[in-house]
Amino acid sequence: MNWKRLLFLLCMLFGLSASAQKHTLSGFISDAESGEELIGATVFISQLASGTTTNLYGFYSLTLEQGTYEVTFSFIGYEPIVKTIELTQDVKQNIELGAKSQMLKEFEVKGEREDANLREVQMSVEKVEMKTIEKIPQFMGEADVVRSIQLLPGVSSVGEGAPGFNVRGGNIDQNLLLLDEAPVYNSSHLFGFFSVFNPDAVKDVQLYKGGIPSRYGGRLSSVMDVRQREGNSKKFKMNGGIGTVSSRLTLEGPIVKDKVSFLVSGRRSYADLFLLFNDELKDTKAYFYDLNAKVNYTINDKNRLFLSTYLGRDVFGFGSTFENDWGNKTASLRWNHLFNEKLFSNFTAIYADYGYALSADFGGNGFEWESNIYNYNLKTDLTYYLNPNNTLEFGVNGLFYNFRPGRAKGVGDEALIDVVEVPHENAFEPAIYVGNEQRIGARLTLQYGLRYSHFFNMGGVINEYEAGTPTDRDDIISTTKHDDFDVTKDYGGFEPRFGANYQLTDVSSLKLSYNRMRQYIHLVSNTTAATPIDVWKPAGKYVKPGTADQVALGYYRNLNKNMYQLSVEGYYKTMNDLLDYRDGAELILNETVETEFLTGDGRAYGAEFMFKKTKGKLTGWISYTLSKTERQVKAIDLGSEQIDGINGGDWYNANWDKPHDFSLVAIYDYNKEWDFGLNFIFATGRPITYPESRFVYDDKVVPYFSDRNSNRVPATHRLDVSATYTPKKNENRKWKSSWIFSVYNLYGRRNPYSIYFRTPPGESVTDTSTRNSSQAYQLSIIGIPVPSVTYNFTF
Amino acid sequence: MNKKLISYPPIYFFLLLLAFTACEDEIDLDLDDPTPILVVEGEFSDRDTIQYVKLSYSTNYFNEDEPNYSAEQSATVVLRENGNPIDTFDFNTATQRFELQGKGTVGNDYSVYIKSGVNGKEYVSQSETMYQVPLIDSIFYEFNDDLPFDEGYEVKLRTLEPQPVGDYYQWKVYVNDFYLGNSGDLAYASDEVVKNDTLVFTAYFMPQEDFEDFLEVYPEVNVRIEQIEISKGFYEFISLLDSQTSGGGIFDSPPAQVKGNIFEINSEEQAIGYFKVHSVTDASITIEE
Repeated sequence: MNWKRLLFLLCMLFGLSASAQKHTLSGFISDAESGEELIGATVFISQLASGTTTNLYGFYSLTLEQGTYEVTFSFIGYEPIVKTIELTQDVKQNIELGAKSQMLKEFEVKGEREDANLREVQMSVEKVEMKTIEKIPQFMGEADVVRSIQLLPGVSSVGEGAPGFNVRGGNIDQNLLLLDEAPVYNSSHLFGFFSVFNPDAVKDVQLYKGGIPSRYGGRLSSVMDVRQREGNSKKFKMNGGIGTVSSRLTLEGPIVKDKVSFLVSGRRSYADLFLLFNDELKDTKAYFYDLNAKVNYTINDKNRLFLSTYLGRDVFGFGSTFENDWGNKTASLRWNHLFNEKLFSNFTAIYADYGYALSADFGGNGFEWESNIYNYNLKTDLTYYLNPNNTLEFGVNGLFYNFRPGRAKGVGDEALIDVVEVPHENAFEPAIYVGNEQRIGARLTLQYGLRYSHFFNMGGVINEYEAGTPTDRDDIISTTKHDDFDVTKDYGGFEPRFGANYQLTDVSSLKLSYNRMRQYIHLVSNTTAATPIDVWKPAGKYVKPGTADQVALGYYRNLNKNMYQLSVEGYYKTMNDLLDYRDGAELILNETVETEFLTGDGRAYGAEFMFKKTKGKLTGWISYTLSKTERQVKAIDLGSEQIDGINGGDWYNANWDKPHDFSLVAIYDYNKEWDFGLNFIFATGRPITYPESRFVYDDKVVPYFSDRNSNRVPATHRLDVSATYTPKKNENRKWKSSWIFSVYNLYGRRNPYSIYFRTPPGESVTDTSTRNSSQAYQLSIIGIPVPSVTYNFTF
Repeated sequence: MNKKLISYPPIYFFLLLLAFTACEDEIDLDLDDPTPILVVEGEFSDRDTIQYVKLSYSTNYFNEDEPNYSAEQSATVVLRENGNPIDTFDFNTATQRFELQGKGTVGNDYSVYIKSGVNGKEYVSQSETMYQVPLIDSIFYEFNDDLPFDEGYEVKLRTLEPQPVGDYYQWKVYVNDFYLGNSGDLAYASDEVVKNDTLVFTAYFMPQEDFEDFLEVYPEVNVRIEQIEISKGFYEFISLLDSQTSGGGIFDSPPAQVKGNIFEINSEEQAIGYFKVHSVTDASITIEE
């Protein structure tokens, strides 16, 4: 194909025309008070009845025919600005939007378009505003990003206090968690009760459950993109809070006004301080902390630099006998560069580390143990605002991993264990992508893209097994240790992405999407809830990367001038080459962990209903998900022996399969002093396994199980309420404060987390009367109403 | 990797955190009656004593009766050495077990053949080699009040552990002949990661509370520990058995079927249980306050 023909085809494809004179209107939209860039603010051209929204850095660009336009810049909760812009040449227009005053908020200005949910081609995306998150009642009053998104359709977890979340049938390791673009490997504090995202430092949260754009990759089920605040570039501010579990303090302000600003935000739990009052527990350490720091520098209109870091840690210990800590460290340096009005670029360098350390000393024989996963990533993302109908995105990234799954050594005079070290592995995951968002006519918008990713597993130790597949450590016939950058196995493939939005009427639209995702690392975890000491295993000789294909179809309808938003989405997802485990698998510090693995597939399908009220005194949503999530692990026939599958190779319910999942979230803005929050959830109990029978062996009653996950715990339901009091005296002073009172689990429902089977203990060690007994127990993590008070302030 | 050597105590912190909010309720469930499966519990050691095999059937999980060990009293139970039948276990109505007096020879392979007296089904255990258990050099105890949430007596063993790796051990604890089940601290282990030829370790931790309970029943507290050399297969069997009986919460592994090494002849079916071939040595000490 010659160049002219190719160019012609491209012109056809992107609807280019050379006839009329065109110019570009571009700029940044930010908050007038803090200078923070606004993500997803709308730029709307009345004459054309179309427009655009700002990207993740607050940038917008629109190329239009020469002329005079009435342009409305708006963002939810802000006073819109209307400007008449004469476009006879390229125009740079930065806009600062001011927050709506309380008066105006009560007499809502009607008529502006707040129907991005209908107009945008992106489907299956959830955006929760921090303002909403802060008002949703939560356990111990801790505003929490991860707990809040679990109230949305298609998102669930195995139970209260469990870490992570499940999206559309995906395991918790299938969510890509990004904090200012750096990956976060464990989103939980205190095993899973709280998340690592300090709400005071977070600006924006978006969760992609499907139709994932080509710029994201690396996980099968979702992307949670969390952006930290930039810090006020206009004036110095301080805010914080004193809560039941933790206290927070954030400082922010300009270093050079309108040019350089900073934000430092810290949070520490202090429940352990109460332990000091208990004699038996006074040597116990149990706390977590987060530190977020960010500096950004607006060099000029074309160049901006952002440096952001996060450090979080959980620490548990008992005197000198035992100590354990774990947490994430991330740092990202970003450089936004505008090549011209149409070409926006972002260059990012990322460092991330998740690790834990344990040490124990039991009088002479103890051990020290540590584990880390390090990430180094360089990436470039470009957006080319070709014309009003086409926005091209493309980029490349190279992600380098260093896996140090575990090293333990004995300490003390009588140390029992030697050094145990699970071999290190390295990996390199390059990816390249291109995507385009194309408007075709007034009603149809397409989003299509292609990503190619590859994965090189390097270094480590490769064991060869007699049967050719890992069976048992004793069957190893040879072991090869590879150099750090010696490629032992590689995988790769295309990941097509597609989305379409057809605007049926002014108030309704239909969307369709398909995505293929690839995931090259798996979390090795066999417990109901993942623990902080679980490690990640890269794809390699014996572990395949996972792939997922998902199609989703949705219908969206806005009512009463966008006051109500109704949506219905259906999805079908298949997942291949997921990691599963043999019975009795030893996954911790296992040098030949591949002998414990099984490979399985997954499938999930469901319908998600969402009814949302976005305006007025009462806001909130009702969400209902009807779904099914199953897994399948077939037996492996090695000829001489057979490695059993799970449930005879039939499909079985995944641990987090909850067919019915209902949430109601309501926030009522009663008056200037009081607002109230309420949420109610109802969900089918998660699958568990009842014993088929029992037997006695060596004086022990042992449950004998048959098919995994063929029973369920009873349904879960819970009501939480909160009230926020903002004293009147705030209005005329700099120090503004508010009180949040909340009760989690108001009616004290004992929601079952698990049911387990055990011989009840006797009265004393010599009491054998219960030896033949067997009893079922139901564990509820939070079985009582939990009240809490939080005091927040800004200065 | 043996989980008992490197355990994960933060689980205790988790439980501590939940002390104020969590609750455990006894619940009643209605479970269907199962098809009974033969359960075999047998052992054969290098010690000249009464060796035994107990036969019973699996029952409904909530059946609280002692297993019916006499249901199979007319079964045929034969000991095989290196594949050849050498002796028969005979049913003893007093102990409700099949018994024989004798001992095995280290280095030989042993298995058991069982023919059901109820349905004529034939079973055989996977043959296992009897390995030599290393001797206990000494036994002693120390009082430890430095442990999280507990204080008590650590009963320690000093033992030789021959290199290279590939040995599996079980320890059984008796207090004045009262068998403590598998409640010992280090009930089983593999030597995969151990460091030295001589090991000193806590084989059993007796909480202060238990010590006092024993003194209420017995005039003194004599602890006897059996050190047992077991096979890899039995090690895996009791590891699984342990994980299926010590459950109780949020970080549980999925339930798994505990089967063992008893296979039905000419069938894909398996009985439940294990015929354990082992060698054993012991040491004892009296704990004084």
